[in-house]
Amino acid sequence: MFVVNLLAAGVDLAGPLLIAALGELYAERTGVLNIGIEGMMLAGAWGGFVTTYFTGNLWLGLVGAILIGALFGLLNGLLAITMKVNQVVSGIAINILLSGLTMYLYRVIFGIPLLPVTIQHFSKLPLPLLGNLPVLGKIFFQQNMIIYIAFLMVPAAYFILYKTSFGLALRSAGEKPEVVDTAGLNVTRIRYTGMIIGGATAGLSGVFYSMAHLNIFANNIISGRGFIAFAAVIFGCWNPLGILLATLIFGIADALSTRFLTSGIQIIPYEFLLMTPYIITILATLIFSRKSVSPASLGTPYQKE
Amino acid sequence: MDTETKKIFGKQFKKNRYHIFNIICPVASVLLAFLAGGLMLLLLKINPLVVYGRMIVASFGDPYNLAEMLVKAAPLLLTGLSFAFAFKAGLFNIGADGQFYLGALGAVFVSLKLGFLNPWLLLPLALLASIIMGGLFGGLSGYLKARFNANEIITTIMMNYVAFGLTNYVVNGPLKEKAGAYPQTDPIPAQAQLPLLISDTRLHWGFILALFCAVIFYFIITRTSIGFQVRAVGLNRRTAEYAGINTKRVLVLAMVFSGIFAGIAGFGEINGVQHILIQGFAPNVGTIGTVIALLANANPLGIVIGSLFFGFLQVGANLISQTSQVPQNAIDMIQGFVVIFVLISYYIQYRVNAHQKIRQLKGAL
Repeated sequence: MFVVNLLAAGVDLAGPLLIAALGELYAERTGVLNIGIEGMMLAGAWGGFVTTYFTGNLWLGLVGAILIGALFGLLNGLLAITMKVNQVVSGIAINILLSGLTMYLYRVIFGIPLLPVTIQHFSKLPLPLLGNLPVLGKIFFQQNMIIYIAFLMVPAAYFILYKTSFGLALRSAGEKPEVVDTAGLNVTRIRYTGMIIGGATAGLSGVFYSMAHLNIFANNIISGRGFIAFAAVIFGCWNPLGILLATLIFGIADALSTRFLTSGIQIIPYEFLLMTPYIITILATLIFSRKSVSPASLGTPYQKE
Repeated sequence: MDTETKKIFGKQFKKNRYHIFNIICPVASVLLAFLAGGLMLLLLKINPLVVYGRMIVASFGDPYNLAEMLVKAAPLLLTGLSFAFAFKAGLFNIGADGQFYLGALGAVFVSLKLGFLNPWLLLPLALLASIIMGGLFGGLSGYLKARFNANEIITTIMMNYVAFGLTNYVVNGPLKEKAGAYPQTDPIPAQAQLPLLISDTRLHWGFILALFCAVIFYFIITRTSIGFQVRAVGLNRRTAEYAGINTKRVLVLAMVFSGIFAGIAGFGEINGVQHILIQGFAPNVGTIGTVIALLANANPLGIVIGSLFFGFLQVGANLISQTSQVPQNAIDMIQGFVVIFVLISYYIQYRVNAHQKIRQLKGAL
């Protein structure tokens, strides 16, 4: 039973990473890095929280989160694609702006509340039939709604990237943009599309932290998860299935450290347990960085001749 | 380094010429950032002009606050240099926050455990400890990059969280204060404290140390063989490799130096300002330093100016949040606007300069 509970918690924690990493995949496949993913997740967490607070509707909150994420994806596109600012630099700039902006606007809206402001949140929604499966049901099919969306996004990403002409254009823009240009397609527009998808999904992913795992907003609720999703794209070797595996590993590791934390067994100090997801990310970087399969033009702006 | 290699790279090292437009642009973008911040302040029904006015008067009108700006600028200057050094080698060290924390850990450890020593011995030892800790921590990312081709952006970011965890562990465990109440160390003894530059302020010799580091940075980068190799690797790693430079060694060294600068910032904060290590102290010192370095395009003089400006922002923010309704995080937002607008201004500058060059060429024809 311990293992089943652990895996179920792992899947729950992997969900937001999966969504964010799949979005990052679209952006990186077109050739642009989105380091701003951390800030966009925070913006999504904020946007979803605020929208739900005022409308009382979780689904509108979801839409709000996606829109605000897409908006900052667009801003990052403006900086990194049109203005050809170094893509790492533009991402850092967006992260800094959003960490200040979200907390300030939270303060504007809610003042200084004595207790944290709470909203209703996405609760667990066991699926009929599938939820009753012996072990698998508990692990995969008794989760909240967004987890199911996250898992559906994996085959969707596979289909879009590899089976549609749109996906071909996306991938080609990241490999050989000059060829895409010669073929009469607009590289800039394709890259903007990738970046906006990346922003929108980062926003959606942020919803988990303020509207599912917790029902409050605070400035440290993302605390590096965006960068972990960013790393998951690398271990996943830039393909959806790899990313699914990578995020599941992160999720389960995260769940494991939480279990140790709450079990009260003091084997190692809890500060070290809290480091686990970050250390695993470093280790994974070491293992998977040798064979580089990144898109050929990743990180380089496209200059039309 | 043979002369042939120098010839290859020498041309690319030439500086761009400055003209007046290139100075107006950053100033205008900072003003725009304050305008955007001002619009946001209106949301809280606060008059931004009053706030900004008070911020400037309070910061510049009082010697204590003027000195305080330099106090705030010192660690930013050092973390800025930290980012800039790796940047010169083409690396992105986002880990200044973590290297800063480890430097602080080293400094506080020595200051507490060897507190009986003479200050002339104790202070250099504490500095050395921060240099070793920062250098090792930065160098580890460099080693992982050189050995495993591990993306340094990810490793340095992740190691920030490891450094925060380590620090939290130390202030809750091995070095927790004797009273045992708060997650912090005991205060360091008087002989471990950096002497003040100006009495009745908090301005300490660490500021001079930071300026000195900027000079050292400039010297290493422009006057030494290793600095030359760092720049060569930064311009084009493959070409540098062909020119006979051991690029792996350069990557590691660049990250070691990078970590050292951030580590020294930790020494300055512990032995100069805080005199104690408190959990979660001086957040974002590394991040803001990174921003400064980016905006200054890794130029040491630009970093000095930038850190003074951000020092002013932070002191001003403290002052107005104490005396008015303006929340402390308003300044984080304005800092964000500054970064975005300055990046946009660089683009405009680039376009205008390119446009002028084309006109000149046409005129020549």
